[in-house]
Amino acid sequence: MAGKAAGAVIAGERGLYFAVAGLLAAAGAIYLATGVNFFKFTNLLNIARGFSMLSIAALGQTLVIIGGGLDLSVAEVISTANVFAATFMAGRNELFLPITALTLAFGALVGLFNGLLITRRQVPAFVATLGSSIVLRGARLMWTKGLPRGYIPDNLNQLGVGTTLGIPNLFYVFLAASLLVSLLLTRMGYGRRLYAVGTSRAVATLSGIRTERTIVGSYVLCGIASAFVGILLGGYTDMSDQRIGEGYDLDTIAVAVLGGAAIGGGSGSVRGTVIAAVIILVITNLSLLMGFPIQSQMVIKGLVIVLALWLNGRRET
Amino acid sequence: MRKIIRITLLAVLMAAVGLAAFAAGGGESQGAKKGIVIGFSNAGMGDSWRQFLVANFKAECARHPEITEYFITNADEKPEKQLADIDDLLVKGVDALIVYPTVADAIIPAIEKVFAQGIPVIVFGGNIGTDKLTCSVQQDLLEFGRAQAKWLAEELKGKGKIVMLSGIAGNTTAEDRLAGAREIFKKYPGIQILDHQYCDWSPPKAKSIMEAMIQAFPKIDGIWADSGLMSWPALQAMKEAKRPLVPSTGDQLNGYTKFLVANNVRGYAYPMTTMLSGEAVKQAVKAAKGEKVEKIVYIKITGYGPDQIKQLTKPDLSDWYWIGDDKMPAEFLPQL
Repeated sequence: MAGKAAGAVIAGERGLYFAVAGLLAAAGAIYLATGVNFFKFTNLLNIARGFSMLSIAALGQTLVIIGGGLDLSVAEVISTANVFAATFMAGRNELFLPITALTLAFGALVGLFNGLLITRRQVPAFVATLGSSIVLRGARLMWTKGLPRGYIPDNLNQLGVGTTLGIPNLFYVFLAASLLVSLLLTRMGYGRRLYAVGTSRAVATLSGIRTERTIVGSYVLCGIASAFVGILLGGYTDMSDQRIGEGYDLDTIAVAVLGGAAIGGGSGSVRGTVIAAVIILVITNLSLLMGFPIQSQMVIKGLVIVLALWLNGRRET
Repeated sequence: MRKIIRITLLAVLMAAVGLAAFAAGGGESQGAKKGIVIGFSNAGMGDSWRQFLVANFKAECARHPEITEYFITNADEKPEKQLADIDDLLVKGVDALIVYPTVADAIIPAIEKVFAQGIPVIVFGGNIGTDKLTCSVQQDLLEFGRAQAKWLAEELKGKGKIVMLSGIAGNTTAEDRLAGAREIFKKYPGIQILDHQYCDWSPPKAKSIMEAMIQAFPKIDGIWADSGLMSWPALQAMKEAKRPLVPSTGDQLNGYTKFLVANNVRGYAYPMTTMLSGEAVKQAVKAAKGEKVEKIVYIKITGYGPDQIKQLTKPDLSDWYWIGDDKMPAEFLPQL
């Protein structure tokens, strides 16, 4: 059974590789036909930054989906963490690390709350995380009276926009984050337990896995990842913004699902999610370079996701 | 049910007050004529622009000694809450009602009802589809786009390649600004529009879209953006790409003008004024006194060129401060 699930994931990944190859071929054709150069190094660097932030948030979402859940509070955690961090860092370099730690702890707390609501009170994940996202937004607006506040310290701004050895700093952050999640899923007991719980909670319970703790863990990690992206977005835009996380909730779900994470749990992988994020970013970038209106990008993005799901669905029957 | 209780309570209270006045010797209370009471049903307080709007409302009220009291309600952007708010304000006995609509269509019946009762209704901040109101205070949004476009075209001496960044597709404010701008750019054949994108008034979106535009177009001479929320990150993107910074347009957002001043680059800030609320108060007072009020009052706006931007920008204050909209005593200014 586990073998079959893994087989489906790999088959799904093959589809993803084809999609990437197809997109790159399209980019080449566009270059030859119109002279619009997707492969220009500076363009790739731009993509790398947006990609890094989307990937980190989507990896958190992937963990939750593998465990059989769904986190709709990602966007609000991002926005709240962004305002929180900017407010308390107040533009001071020396506060970057301590406040980052505090902000991540805040993300973990939201995840803990989500996880406990879902496991202890049996609230459906969809409703629980939607609820906490509404609470978060309300609390943030009450706290700030709707005013964005705070300043981004220079070192965080450098992390968001700077490069090291020609590679965006954000990309190194992404590499570290994906390595961590990858180790967690493939080399550590927690990963095995998470897949088991997502595949069948009943079987996992019978095998002696503490399913509640495992599920709560996935939400905590997703909360941390989201809060982290909130901080990184602050570095990227050099400002705090009440709505900076908007769109990340559905984008992370789309990326995770396109990457082979099945709603319902049991499958999903770092590689799949990362490749899916590449696909989404390349599509967005290519259509922007071509001067297509942004609305058309949503259509293309949506179609790619639906197509991927349709192909995956057929394969599994 | 709550409403019935509220009305009953109020009736009892009024009867008691009337009785007390009668016992105290009747006639006198009529002689001491009470001043004007203003009710302001606000749509929401979700950002610093709204804070300035309310600050300007309060400051203007303070300039009119005849206003003895005012009430402000906040609908949290919910039309159903706004309907209840308006009822509450009526119960408080306001002499004039000022409304910033949440969803214009949804509150038309309430506005018409108040107007039918003979209470002056002043609406601002939204084009409302009824003429059963006393006065609508408006800012011409086509002119917003026109003024920005005219400045940019003149700044580029009628020749250059520009990109356009709009707010939300289909949003009236964004579409009006865009239509006004396009109307002007058409008159300048030397201005070439390389691309136009909707960035949803979102800084990260505007920044990443601008990054792609920078890659797609080797030369960009100017940025038309309908808001500083987008020209500011767009300029950041140009700076990070080590491109020369170019003339841009935006609104009176301090963060945007701070960036212009700090980088010594020319720009144009056309205010989306928060002084609409002050103008609404003026019209409300006139109407409450029984003076004649125009059905539609357009508020006069002047845009800020590079020199005024330098004068008005507040380098030490919040990015979310609105320059030029702070012509009020310090105690009213929002604490950002």
